[in-house]
Amino acid sequence: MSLLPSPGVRLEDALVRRALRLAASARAGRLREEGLRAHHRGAGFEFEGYRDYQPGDDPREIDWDLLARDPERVAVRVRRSEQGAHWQLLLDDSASMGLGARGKLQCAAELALTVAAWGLFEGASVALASSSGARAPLAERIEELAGLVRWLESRVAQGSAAPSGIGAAARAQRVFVFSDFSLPAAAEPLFVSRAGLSWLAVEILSAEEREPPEGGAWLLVDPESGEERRLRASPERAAEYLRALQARSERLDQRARATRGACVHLSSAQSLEQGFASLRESLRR
Amino acid sequence: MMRFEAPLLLFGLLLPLFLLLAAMRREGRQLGSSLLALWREQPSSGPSAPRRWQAPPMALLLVCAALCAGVLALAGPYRAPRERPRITVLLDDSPSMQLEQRQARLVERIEGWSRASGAQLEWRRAAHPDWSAHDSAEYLWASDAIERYPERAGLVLSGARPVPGPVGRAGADRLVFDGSQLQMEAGAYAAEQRSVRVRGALPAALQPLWSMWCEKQQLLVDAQAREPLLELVFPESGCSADREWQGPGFRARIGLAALSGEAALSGEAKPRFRLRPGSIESDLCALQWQAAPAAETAVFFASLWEQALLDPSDCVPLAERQQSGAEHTAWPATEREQQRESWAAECAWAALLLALSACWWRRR
Repeated sequence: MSLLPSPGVRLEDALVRRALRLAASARAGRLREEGLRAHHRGAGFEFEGYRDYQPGDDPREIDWDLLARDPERVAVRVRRSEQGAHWQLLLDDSASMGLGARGKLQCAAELALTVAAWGLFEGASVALASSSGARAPLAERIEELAGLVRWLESRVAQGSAAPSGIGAAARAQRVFVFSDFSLPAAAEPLFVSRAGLSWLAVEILSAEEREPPEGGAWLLVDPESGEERRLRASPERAAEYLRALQARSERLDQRARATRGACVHLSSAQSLEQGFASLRESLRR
Repeated sequence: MMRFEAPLLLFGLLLPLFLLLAAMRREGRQLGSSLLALWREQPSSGPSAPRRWQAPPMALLLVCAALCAGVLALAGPYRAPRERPRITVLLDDSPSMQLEQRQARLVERIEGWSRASGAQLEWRRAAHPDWSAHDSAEYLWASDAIERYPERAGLVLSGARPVPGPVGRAGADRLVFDGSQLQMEAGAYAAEQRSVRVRGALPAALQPLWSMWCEKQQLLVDAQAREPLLELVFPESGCSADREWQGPGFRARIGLAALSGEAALSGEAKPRFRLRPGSIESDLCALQWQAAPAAETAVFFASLWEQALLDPSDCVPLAERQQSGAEHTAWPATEREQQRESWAAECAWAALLLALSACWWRRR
């Protein structure tokens, strides 16, 4: 078996249609949800921050929790529309993303395509970039999605360039990072916090990484560093691995929350629909 | 000794061997992972030991044992008796068996069967043997054609189609069988120097008859002939003839020494002539015609001499050349086949039990 069974990306027409359906559904769902909220709370879609209360403001936008903590300050929530926003999608295309029967890079590309279509439906401009430094032409209309498809299909999992400094793009209001986050400790600070920026880290691991072998002799190989480790698998060792994996996920979550971001953990074996549903659920939280 | 119905299936034993070797290789299967650090935290998965092989898991050992037992069951093991079965081959040695190398080909086939079956052979050769006296399971009849098939003995027939060729001699002429009828080739043996000789004292009364017969047969009477076609042996002159014997048209004095042998022409208990191919031995010392030499006396002696006169070496009796029959093979049932003890069922049960044990070990 090849060490990297799925190093490339293939986005067939049927899959693009599925991505478009999911993106349209996400927009419709958000409009429905935000419409209800606007009916109760007034106009505006996305929470952006706070400003001091001024006469004439809708008293329903006063943040009562903040007032309770600081009675001297009366602040209202500031919301913004996605119209004119800029979405930045960062795709990890290092060698480790080629792991898995359905490659992690393939899974990441499908999700990135769906999120890009969603952003274009929302009226945002979408920029795609990869950890290896490649950039896709900026897309501002849904008709430009085909260019993003071609760019995504040209990605190959190779090298060891990992995404770093996520969220540093000055223009972006939303940042999505698709990666396995197999980053060396020296790569911190991974996430950058900035006012007006919300971001989501989408961690994608292969099925074998999510569900380690419980028996047999294995030679584990890191495709990026070439490091090898011999493993005599057992249920006990698999349980220890899963605990370590859980701790790693919690650390990622903590770091994301500390920089006003969020993190979602996916398996490359999951379908596009399952992965995108988890991604949206994470955004809603 | 253990033998197998299908020994080629034993190559299947290589499969569990390969499985074991693959499992014992230290490297194991290769798996890519970007999370080596998570495994590294476990003290039990440290750097590999220098040895290249490791003990296979017990479940795999059980599976391999089950595979071995299954392969053995499919190969059909059985235990043969220690003593090799003995088969007596009755080999027809009649002249027709020399035609078309029938006998040689039969012997080759029988020896091949003996090697394959493990039967130990004892050969008995006889021209036209008494088949029916040996119709039991430990006999194998071998001939080219046979009138009655055996009930219990094995039978191998080479088949016998008519074979054209010389069948006899009439003076210097040759009788030839052309496949359907006889043809005469006049003077075919004229150029050959054919001799006969007499040892002992030929009774004087027989001398004219003997000379006439030899002249008619174009035979040269030569006492020094090295390879005579016929040799007459009489007692030396002066033998003590104390008894009298009555022949057809003559009376004869006979010696004290009684003959024993194949031919008893007189119908008495003791034969007066012993016939062999190419030789006639007699104990007649003196012969006296009862009247003038009668025709029946001439026919008696001419018939006697012609029976023993050797045919030319290329002649085969007509009956042998005409004999026909189809090829047939029915090997005798050897003791090994009758008494062998099959172990296939035991191997199949062992395979099942081992497979179940492997499942139980895997699940526990």
